[in-house]
Amino acid sequence: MGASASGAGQDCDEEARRRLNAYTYLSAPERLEHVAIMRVFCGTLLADLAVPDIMAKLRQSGGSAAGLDADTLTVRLEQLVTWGNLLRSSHTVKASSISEYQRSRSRYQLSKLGERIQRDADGVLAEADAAREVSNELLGLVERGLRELADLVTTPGGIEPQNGLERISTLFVQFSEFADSIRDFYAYLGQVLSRYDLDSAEYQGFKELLLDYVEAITEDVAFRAPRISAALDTLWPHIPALLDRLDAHAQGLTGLSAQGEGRLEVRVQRSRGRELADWEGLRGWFRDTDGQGSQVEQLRDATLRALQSLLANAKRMLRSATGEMSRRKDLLRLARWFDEAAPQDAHDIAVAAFGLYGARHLGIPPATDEVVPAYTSWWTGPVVEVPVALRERGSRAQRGRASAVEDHSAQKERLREAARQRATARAAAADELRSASGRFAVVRLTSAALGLLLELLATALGNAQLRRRTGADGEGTAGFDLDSASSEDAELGIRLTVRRTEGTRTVLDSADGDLLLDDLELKIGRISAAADGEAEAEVSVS
Amino acid sequence: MTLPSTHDVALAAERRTAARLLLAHPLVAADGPHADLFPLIRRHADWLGKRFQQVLGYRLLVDSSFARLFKAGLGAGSGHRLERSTGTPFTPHTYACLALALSVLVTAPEQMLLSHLVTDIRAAAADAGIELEETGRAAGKRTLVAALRQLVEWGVLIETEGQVAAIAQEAGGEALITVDRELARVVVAGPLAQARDGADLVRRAADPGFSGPRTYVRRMLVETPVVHLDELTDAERDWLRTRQRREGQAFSELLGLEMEIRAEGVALVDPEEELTDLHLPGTGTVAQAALLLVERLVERLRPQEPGHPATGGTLVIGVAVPDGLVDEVLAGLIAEYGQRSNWQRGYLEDLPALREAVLDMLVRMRLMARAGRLRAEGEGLPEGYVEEVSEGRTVTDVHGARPGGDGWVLLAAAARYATLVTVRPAATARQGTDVQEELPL
Repeated sequence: MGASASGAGQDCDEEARRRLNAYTYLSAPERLEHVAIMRVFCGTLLADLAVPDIMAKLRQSGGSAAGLDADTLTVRLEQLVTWGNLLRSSHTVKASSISEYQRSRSRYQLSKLGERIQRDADGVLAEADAAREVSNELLGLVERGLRELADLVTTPGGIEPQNGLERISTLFVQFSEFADSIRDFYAYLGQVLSRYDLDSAEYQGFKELLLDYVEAITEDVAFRAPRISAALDTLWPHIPALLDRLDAHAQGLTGLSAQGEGRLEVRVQRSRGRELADWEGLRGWFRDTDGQGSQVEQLRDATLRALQSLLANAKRMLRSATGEMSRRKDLLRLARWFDEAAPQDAHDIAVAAFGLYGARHLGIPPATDEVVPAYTSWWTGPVVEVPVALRERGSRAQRGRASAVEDHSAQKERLREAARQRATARAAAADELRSASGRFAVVRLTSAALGLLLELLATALGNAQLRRRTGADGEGTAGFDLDSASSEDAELGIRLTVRRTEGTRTVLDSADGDLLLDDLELKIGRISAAADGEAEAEVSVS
Repeated sequence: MTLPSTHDVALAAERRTAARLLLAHPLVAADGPHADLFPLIRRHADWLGKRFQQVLGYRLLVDSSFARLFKAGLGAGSGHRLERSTGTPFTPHTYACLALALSVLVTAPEQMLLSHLVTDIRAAAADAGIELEETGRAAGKRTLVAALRQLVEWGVLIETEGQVAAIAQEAGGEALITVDRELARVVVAGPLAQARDGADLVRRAADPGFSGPRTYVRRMLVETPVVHLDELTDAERDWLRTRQRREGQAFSELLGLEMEIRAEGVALVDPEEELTDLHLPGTGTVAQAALLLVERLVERLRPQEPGHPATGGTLVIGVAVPDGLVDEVLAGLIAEYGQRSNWQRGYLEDLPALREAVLDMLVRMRLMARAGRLRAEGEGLPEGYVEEVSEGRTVTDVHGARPGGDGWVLLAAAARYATLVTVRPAATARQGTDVQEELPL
């Protein structure tokens, strides 16, 4: 069992090898001559040709094989027989002379395989790498044919066999032509799209091809596919019966083999549409039957891929309006400019050519809370506060709120010193005032002492005003009441009491000038020492 | 005026973030180091595109895998440069290698072996008539590696297996490289085809073109640390002086930059201190020394009665730095700070090197400059750049506001980092002695 199976497998391989041998003539060094010879044979139907006939025909057509002499031609022909492209003719001729006999001995005719391969080869040669138009009108015909067939088959009495045969043949011719053209077209697309370097003219044509054409096809197919699929569904249960009936009507070549009773295993290739497998193929094109996706779906995917690829090309071309070569040329020129430039100039050229620098700005913004007039000079205007860590250590380790710069310490010290001096001066002034209390007429006050006194006096008068108002509200008494107006400075421990006494006049002599106070009496004392402090203290506080 | 809603505020913040990212990194790859912010750019692509075009005349290209802001050039002496990972600036030859590699990559297949790339680059060098440093030598190899590394950094090359550094290895290391051709094609932003030579390219790339002074001034404000008045033409200065407050407001909203307007010029400063490729004040020996140097120089050289002519002052944009003063101050700084701040040994022992690095930084931050011809005098203007001031307007005269000669110049903006507060003399001139008048009654 296993042995016979492997034996059969070997037979199959052997058969395949033998059949593929028929391609050898296309790759032999003399392939152009071979092809010319085979064309001569293909130009005839069921004819066998002798060497002189072939020579004559070759001369007629011209080309590379025109100059072959009889001997060489015979060698070529024998070679083709060995490969299986030609057969030695069995056609018997009664010869009347030796030469005629010899001529008739070497007559050749085409084998089926040879004919088929030559036709394909001619097809490949004839086909330029051009887009083949898709005959999508055929798809409409296929649909119509199927629908009509379905109608006829399902009518009572069934379809008339000859009509059915014609319709099915037409249907399958149309369909296979359509499927072939689609396959060709997409093969072409795939080939073009695999190139990244379309130039703009190619791209232009290609864009129309795809955008206007592919889309039309895909839409057409997408539109027809469900309808064809539905017609096939209707038809499907009737197909086996239909095929049987057609076979009964017109046996074609199968009739022969039936007669032959297996005596000879003649293999017959049925015309399309006469076997169930053909129908399954048709159905598989439009609908997913074997889980690998229908052709329609594959088509859709392929279209999507094509569009994406086109888009990638389009993007590229939009950005390189001038084309790649000029871009390359520009960059080579740039390289030369760089190479010839001085270092500093090279940096500037790089900035100009690439524009890939980042913006650059100084650190530490101006204070936002102060408005500085536009005419302020940087030289004398406000400065910014550099974080002390950056300035003193060149590090950001202590980042945070910009604190006072250390250099300010000198100034702070100066300010502290000034404050200290001011405090000392005021304390001295307060002492002076206290000692001068009650004898202002005979003492000449210093400027500082007078300043302090005026300060206290102003506050006291302010307090007195307040008191006057409360008095007016409470009792309605008008006039100024300065009886117990006073002020004090807790820090200095000094208190000034002002009394209004009609007719008095206080004169304060000082370094800055004389101060005359009419109707006022001043008294200065210590806060802590003041025995009668309580009530007056209240006033001063309020 | 209605108050902005939370949504508006969030929207503005997103757009500001995206715009700032693009200004700092004009080429952002979707899977690069800024992948987290890339969706923002995508989301606001239209708005950003319009804004950049309208305000700065920049084209913005946003694709699914990258965003590219096509920046204009900055003219001569821009102070920007590419550097190797070690910090060494690119040499002209390294730049040439970069351009050659790009010329190969724009037509390259999607993947290639490193050795093929090198072969193609050599072929390109031959086409360009450039003598590629013998790639057999270590220095030549490193130059090529530096150029390719830069391309890897930009995302143009992806090291699928191995690294481009394999070139420099012994025994012919190999690597598989994937080429992002889309990115390779957007690296170039300047008008290469129109330019006659390198200098012409620099001039053309900085040409604001149709929109003239407005665009130029804005670009300078946004891209450079300080815009001093004498770095602008009359028309540009006029436009800036008329518009500065409004522009300041606009840039604050658009980019979060604060404008400092002074008599001598204008600076946009980033409160976040992020939108910059160089930091001053910053960390490290050079930045610290630069800051301290500027401070000392301003103290010594601050001009008398500087100000704006309109208010009776004298416009002083720059003061000459006497020869030797920089070295003197730096030597003092080394003594004072060198040990304390742990300065780099190399600089401590090599004053000229420190001087060079510090001055380089200050020039790039536009706080110091070499004396030379200025844009106000017509230097570096593109051909046919129309220079017209509207009739009857007077523009601030910047003539002689900075010294000539060929020495170093300390620029006005440097004074913002002086720490010494000028103590204005208290109003000593007391008028009269009638103290009574001052009674705060």
